[in-house]
Amino acid sequence: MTEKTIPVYVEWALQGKTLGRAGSRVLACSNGTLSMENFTELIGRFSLGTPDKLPQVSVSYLPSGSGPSRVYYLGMASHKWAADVQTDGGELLERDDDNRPVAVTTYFCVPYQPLADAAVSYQAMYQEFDNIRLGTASGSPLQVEFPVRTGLPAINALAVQSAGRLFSGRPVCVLGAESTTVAERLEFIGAVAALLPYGFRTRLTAATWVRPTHRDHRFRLFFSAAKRDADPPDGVVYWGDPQRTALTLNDDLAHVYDRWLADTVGQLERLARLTTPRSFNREDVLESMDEIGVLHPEPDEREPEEQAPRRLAPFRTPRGAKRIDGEQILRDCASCMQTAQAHLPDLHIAITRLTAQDKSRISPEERRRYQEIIKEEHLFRRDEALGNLQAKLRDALLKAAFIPPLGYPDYCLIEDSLGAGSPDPPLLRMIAGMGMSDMRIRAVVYPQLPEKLIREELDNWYISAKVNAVELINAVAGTWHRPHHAFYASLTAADFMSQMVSDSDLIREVLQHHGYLGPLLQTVGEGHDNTQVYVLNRFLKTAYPYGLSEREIRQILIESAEPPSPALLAAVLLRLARLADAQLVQGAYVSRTVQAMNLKPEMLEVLESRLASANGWPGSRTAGRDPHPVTDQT
Amino acid sequence: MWGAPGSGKTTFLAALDIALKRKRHGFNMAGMTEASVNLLIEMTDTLIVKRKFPPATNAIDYFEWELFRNQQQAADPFGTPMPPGPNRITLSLADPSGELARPERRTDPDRKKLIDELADSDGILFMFDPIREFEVGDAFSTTNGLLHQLTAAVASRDRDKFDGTLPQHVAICVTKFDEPKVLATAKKLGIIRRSPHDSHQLPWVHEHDALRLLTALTLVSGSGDGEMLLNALHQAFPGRVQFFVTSAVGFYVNPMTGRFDEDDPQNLVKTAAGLSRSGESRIRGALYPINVVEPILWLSEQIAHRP
Repeated sequence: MTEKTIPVYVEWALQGKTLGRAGSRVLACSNGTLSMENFTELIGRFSLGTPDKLPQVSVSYLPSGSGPSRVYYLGMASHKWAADVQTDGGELLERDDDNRPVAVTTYFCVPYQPLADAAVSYQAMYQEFDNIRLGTASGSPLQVEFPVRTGLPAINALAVQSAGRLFSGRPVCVLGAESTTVAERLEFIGAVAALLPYGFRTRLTAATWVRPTHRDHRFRLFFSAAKRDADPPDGVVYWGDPQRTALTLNDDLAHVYDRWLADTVGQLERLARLTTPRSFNREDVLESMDEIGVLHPEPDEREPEEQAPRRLAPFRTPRGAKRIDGEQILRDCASCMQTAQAHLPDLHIAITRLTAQDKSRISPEERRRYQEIIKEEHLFRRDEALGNLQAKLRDALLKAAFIPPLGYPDYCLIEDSLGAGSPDPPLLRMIAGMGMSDMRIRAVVYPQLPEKLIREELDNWYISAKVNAVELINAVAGTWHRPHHAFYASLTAADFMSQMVSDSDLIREVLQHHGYLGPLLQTVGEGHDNTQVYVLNRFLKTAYPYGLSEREIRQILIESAEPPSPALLAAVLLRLARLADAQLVQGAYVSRTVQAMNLKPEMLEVLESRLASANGWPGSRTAGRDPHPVTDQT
Repeated sequence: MWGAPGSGKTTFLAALDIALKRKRHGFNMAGMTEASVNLLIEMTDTLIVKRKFPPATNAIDYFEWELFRNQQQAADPFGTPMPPGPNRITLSLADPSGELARPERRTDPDRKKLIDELADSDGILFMFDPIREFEVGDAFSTTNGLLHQLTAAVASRDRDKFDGTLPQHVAICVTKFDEPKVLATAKKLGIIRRSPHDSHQLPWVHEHDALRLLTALTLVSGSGDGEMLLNALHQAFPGRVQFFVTSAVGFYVNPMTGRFDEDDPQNLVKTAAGLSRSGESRIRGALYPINVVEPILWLSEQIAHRP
């Protein structure tokens, strides 16, 4: 497959010496935007110092213009001995008057934006530049085809740590890499750069080797033989030994970013798309972390010497930083979930940004809008494609859009945000974990969770005196957002009654008031006949601990406002004090069922007459006779 | 340090440790940072073992060295009392690329740094390359611009106290004394000396005579501007200038006789120049640096006895 490339015009310069005393200078350069003086300054500014071992490579940058019209260039310098440089054969001194090899610098300057658009890596740039044979006389800019980045560089713990350290604003010096090749060191620089948003390349300076006595060099990431004498000192890491310099809480943003990177797999593609030019000052770093979605601590304004021992300050939205647009993030989440598999990294970024919000700054109105979006976009819906991100997303949504502890209306909104069905157990556990404020949400959530998980919590609730059987029964009979909530509540009420001692008289009274709940449960618990019977049996057992007498059977089956449901019939049968009353139950149930039908009085009288012909039918008002034989006319 | 490209600044520093070990100056030397220690070892090794010159400095190298007075070593076998002076000399040295002295580099950020370093310094080692002056004659043009910038920098630090002169002491080192043209000029002036205590009988020029040699050399400047250089330095640092005639590699000492041979003086040999390379230089024999320690000791004494 052909590698995809982008063409970019590259300005260039060649610095070296010619015979005579003129010294090292820019001998030739492109006749583009940058002048020979510009190149002289650039090469001097990003000097490696006195050359020890060549070849070496350095990367740098050049801003041009100001304000909105400011544009950036990325610079790459290749430092070689003159004898190793490919040129057009023009004059280039290889050794000076003292027989010292002459170092030659070839500097390439590339517009930032096309590189950013294609996420071109430093290694790719070097590979292209290294093949160019420069002229020793000035000429045109070169058109170079750079490969669009398709893969990710090899990342190791030291690269992750170094990327974190760069966010501290202090340069990072890599020691102990004397035996590595320039290609290996450039690869490391590329890996560290890939762990930062691409926009930081507009300020990143790095070198594969800098002489340690070149104290005032301007490289943020560099290899050297020894620590330089700098104030403040550089962050130092050791090649192949990241543990030696492992970051701690005292390392502030470096530690935060290091941890975030370590926990975040697959973010590099996303980072490559964050191309807004950035500096390594604290303000820009914090803004960038917000953009990525990295939680970071409140900046400590104390002087460094006052800061020990340092503790991680509360997380916050940085001063002066743009408020995170929560609504947009939620929309982003929704967008990512449309084709989740392709956009998991973006979704992760969106989730982390959502998590990074300062919850105390979200207004009630904003929260309400968040909830509307969550509901509208069904953001709590279960989606296997999200994998582990599902839990992170839901957790972030809960924390951003709701104030704990959650109430029943919150639960209803969450359920509405599923699109269909009830919350799955992981989501229910999150809801329970957020804390639940009122009886109704608890009554609905608990029955949906495995008992072994919530038994202790349930028992604590029961004995807290914040709930009792009467309230639960009243709640079951009350108004619910969705019918099945009443069914769950009835289960909770039954469980409560199984665990706690309740006042039978009160329970009887309240059950009677609500028609013993048989018909209600028949509606809300459709398809769950066994459960209906279990619940009603528990209710009756609590209300009639010694079983149902004939009078009580009549009360339940005949005198209640609503006709009994089949489940209530079953429950009554189960609660009989005397088995002989089963016939009574049967008759009462049939009779009440018939009476409940919306029949003409004449028809009802005929039916009652027929039922009364059977002995002992309790509801019969005309027992023992059939004054209205059934006819076709009837 | 201050000097034109190729004037021998780094080689001078590289020879310092050798010079301290060649002669009983009463001091030994230590690096104070890992980088300074490494470079001290590396540069000395380059000169002694590889018989090469250190690479041309790029930008500015910083060295943190210290000289410690060694009482036992300083005891002169001929009973001369130990000269007064500090027991410990801290050398925080900035060794700039000579390229920074070029007028066209006046806006270079490293040049700005060099100016700041010079303005903040107590003493300056100024390297005057007589060969370059003869061939190119740019000592004045390279020095004059720097002097103006340095004056402005010093003035800006305290305008009320600024009297138009610079407060630093300057050791002006006429380098490459071992070059035949320089040695010949010194001979012509009759200022060559030999120490009775020097078994090698190496020639040297007393600091009192160094100005005469420098004056003579500036008169043959390629540009004819050399004379102005001395005046400019005297005006900028009135009463705070001392001259030394130095050589980092020294003269050749015949290993058979162990003595300097006037007919075979050169310790540096060169081949003819080619199209893409200058004539190759090679250090012939052992190094006997001349007047490398003395400018530093002089500076440290002046600084120590400043009012």
